[in-house]
Amino acid sequence: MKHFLVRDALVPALAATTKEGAIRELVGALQQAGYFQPAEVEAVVGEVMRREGLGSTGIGRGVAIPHSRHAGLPRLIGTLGLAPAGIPFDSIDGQNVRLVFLLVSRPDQPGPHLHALETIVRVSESDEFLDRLAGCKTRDEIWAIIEEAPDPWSRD
Amino acid sequence: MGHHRGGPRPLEPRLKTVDSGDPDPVDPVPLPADRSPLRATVVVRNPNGLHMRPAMAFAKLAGKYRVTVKVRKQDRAVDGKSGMSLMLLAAMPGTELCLEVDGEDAATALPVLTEALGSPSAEGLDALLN
Repeated sequence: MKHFLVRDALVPALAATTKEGAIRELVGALQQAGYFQPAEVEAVVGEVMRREGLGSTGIGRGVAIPHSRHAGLPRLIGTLGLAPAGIPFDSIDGQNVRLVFLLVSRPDQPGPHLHALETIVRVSESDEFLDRLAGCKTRDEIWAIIEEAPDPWSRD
Repeated sequence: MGHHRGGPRPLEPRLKTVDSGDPDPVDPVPLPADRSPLRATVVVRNPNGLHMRPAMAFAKLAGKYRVTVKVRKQDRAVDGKSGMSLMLLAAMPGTELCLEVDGEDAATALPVLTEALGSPSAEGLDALLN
């Protein structure tokens, strides 16, 4: 996960209480970290929300992976926002979401996006891992856990 | 993408002799049900691979049938009724997958699920759901 999550854009406590608010906050964090121009934020938020309209990316277990493509990025980027109180996300299991992984990929590179999805789904199988992440209070605490999480090997 | 039964073919029923004195000479002995799963090889045609939307839609479609569904990529096999599990395959465009369907609805489900897994777009897959 350390290969695609942007450390400086991690949000230990999302202020937002809605899906769109959380997405906006996370895209804003990536912009602050230098990955978007301020003028691009609305377009990215709009694209992520359009994707949500096709079906929620709340995959269950309190995890959501909102995502979109955006031209001009150097590589796939992502960030993680924690919502200890839970955010309604229309998830597959109806549960509120406490971990929001936002991914923005290059339109011409499906491989990194597929592997990022694989990675997040794999770590989401561990309740212990999710609980540890959700309990983090600072960016450094989140990053320490992310650094030790195994990245999936590529067999393609 | 040929469909074929796994395992050996069932034996042909033995022909009944005409004057066996069998009180019920008409009905042949029923064949034992062939319980081996049906299989198809499917190539991922979606240009973005088996990403979240096609994975979720495929799992939903598979859930409509009274079957167990396995999707295999090389030596990794996952439950085809779980969108999350399908995402673990990280199947790129052009990847060859083995679809394995077993159970009561297998014969009906196999062609539909084969088309779904090989669908070039998530929209095409959604159309199969409706």
